[in-house]
Amino acid sequence: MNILKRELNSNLKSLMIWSGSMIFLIYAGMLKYSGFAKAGTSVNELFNQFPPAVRSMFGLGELDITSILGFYAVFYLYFMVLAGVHAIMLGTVIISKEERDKTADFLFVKPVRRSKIVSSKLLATLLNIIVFNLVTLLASIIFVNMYNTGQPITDKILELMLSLFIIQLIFAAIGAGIGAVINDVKRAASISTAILLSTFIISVAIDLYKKIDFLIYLTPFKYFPAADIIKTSTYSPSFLLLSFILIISFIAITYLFMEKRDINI
Amino acid sequence: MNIFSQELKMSAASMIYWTASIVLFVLLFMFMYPPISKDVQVIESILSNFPPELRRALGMTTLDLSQVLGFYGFLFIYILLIGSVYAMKSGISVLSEEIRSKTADFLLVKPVPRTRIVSAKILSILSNLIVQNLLFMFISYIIISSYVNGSLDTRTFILINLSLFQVQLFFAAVGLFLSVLIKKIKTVLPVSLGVVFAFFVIQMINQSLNDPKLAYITPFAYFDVSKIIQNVGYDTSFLIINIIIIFILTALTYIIYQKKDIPSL
Amino acid sequence: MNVIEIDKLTKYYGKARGIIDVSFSVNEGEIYGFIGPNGAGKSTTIRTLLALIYPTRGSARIFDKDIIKDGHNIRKDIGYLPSEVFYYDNMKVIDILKYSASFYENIDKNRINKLAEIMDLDLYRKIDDLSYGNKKKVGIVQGLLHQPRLIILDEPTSGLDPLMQQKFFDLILEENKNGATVLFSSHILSEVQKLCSRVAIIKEGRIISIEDIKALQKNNYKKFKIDMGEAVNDDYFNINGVANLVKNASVYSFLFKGDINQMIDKIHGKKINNLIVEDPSLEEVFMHFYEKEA
Repeated sequence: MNILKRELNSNLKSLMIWSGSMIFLIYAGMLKYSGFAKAGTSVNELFNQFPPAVRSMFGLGELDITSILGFYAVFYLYFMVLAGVHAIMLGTVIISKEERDKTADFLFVKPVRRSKIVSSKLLATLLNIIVFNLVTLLASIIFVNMYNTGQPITDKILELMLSLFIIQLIFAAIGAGIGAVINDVKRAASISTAILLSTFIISVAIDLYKKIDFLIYLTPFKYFPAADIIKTSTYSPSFLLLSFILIISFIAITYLFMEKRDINI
Repeated sequence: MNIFSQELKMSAASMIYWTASIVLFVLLFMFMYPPISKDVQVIESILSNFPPELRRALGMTTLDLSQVLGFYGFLFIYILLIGSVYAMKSGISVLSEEIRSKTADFLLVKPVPRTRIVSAKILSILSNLIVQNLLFMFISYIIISSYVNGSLDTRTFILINLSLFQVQLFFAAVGLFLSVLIKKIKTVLPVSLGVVFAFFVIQMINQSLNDPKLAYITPFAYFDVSKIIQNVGYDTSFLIINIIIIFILTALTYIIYQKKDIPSL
Repeated sequence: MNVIEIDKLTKYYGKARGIIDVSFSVNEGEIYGFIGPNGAGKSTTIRTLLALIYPTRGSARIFDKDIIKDGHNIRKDIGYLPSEVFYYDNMKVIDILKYSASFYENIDKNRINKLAEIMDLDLYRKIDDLSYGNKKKVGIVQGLLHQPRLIILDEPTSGLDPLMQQKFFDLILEENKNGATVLFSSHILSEVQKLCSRVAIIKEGRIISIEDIKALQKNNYKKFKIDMGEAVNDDYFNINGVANLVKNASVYSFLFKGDINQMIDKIHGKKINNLIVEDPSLEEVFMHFYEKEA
């Protein structure tokens, strides 16, 4: 409990900055929707004539960008990337920072199992992610409804947000695993950065060139396409399973390596 | 001079890694160019009949993906992204690293005025960026040329590439400024990734909406590659704004660092 | 009962030597010195005992429990003061102490105030703004507030002024009187001399000797300083039992361990300007150890 509280405290400022930025971005995005929608009515017809290959090449798939939901879903793609940055860095730093801060000699000589320290840190990560998602969800619902003139889409936003949450869990788990395996926070953060940039770039490549979509497994950004969620309201079971496996394995790695790790400051 | 060469020594490896990663990125994505360009040629002819709102909404305003430079321009958005993370990381760490690694007490008691320390360090970033840009431009020129039938539009190519350097200067200056403004930056990469991606997402939103106000916020919009290709030149007002921002932030860095308290061990 | 029992503890950092086959045991109620030059392996041994790092080979028990398997239970009764203390930013002294206290059961809250008073520590200042010495004091209070049965000190006095050092030693002695066992690592011999009953000497990763301090100092060695009035062979005094023989002009100085009459015989009949025989300081005894093993 004490470690958890300490971790929540020390991440509070960064969480507030992240939440504030998300609110601003959602606001800035939706602000212009009304004007955009008007210009879009004629566009919509043309858009429907698009061959599917073209649409998917632009990363839009089945999205109708002139509807507020389609419009929101385009932003959702970007939020996902930001959420990925937030989660992987959070996971990496929270696990590996004690040695950098030289507080390892304080914390790890306390009468607690290492596994309990790790659990507290992971729980703190989870709570941070939950808050991040709740803020994003609330901001989305509020700003979307402000400009929504048609059907209520709150349930769709909820579904999108749930996949955002799962993606954050994957990245946070990867980050924690790296933080546990690499015992230098700077190198751990570099590797996490490389992983995040690579997954993002791979998702761009897949949008661009369908023939390499076997790479889809490498990038969590592509596990739950917004278009599919909007159309079917379901998540692909195989990718849910893959997400689950990834999260569990990286958390297991985190515990295992932290248990065996030499603490050097 | 000693500070400068010490900085270069410490940062050379990182500069090479980051340069290699953007070179690798170009190399891999250019493999996809021949098949994509064939697909796109068909699409482009349809697309050109579409109203500009739609093209804007697709985020690909005027980039012609069937042309090598159009395709390269599309890739360049992501090169800007990666290069900016590197520049920002360098900017933040160069002055704050001493405090983090507790060597500030070593360096700052040497008989050198602080302004000279700042100058030497800024100069080291500048040299790294120059070397990186020259290396990258040279190698990517070779790569791109191999995909061109006939001659490459060298002027446009260089203009596109020089935008990398200028955006990097922007982020390096932001990094420098943040690093002296904030009392203690603990991890460089999370902050760099967060800030650069936030600006990137603003640019993505700006691209979809083409909101002139948003464009002023993000340097990615100052050097919109599609416009560079179209006009074979930069937007003068944005060019000047960029220089002014870099100048102001650098000046503030000198002033604040001059008065900054260095925390004890 | 042995509070600490170390059996052939070995730690390699990759290929680099940390410690090799370190064995010693510390009795309950004892203040045990652990001494050696920088880089000899003192901190490695201590960090292994605290399960901060894991041994390559060998084992150790504290309170008769395995340091790895029962690490977290053992640590309930250990107070550790590292050589360098760093704490979380943006915390006041009282915050870190309360945070530290939150890890233990049955903490006497008055003890924080009492210890802070002894160490002359302002509880309401920010850790960031404290001097090195004051941070050290936070470390001391933090390490002692749960009344540990075993106190592990890794070069604890650096950064403390002499007055504070004395207060600190008094504090440790009082804890010791109340039953705490102390493992005290240092490279400053006078400290060890003042506090400890026994001492393990470590060099280049190996324990080279375990000595009773009083015996070491009182019974074994005599320090000779002889100013000769006539020329003798350089090796004249180099007999069995002589160490650290130094000749400076006509003055010969050395440590001697053995029958004192032997040395008297050597001097007998020679012309001597001056003769000093005294108990060596601990430093000199240890210098002898280090050089002998080198």
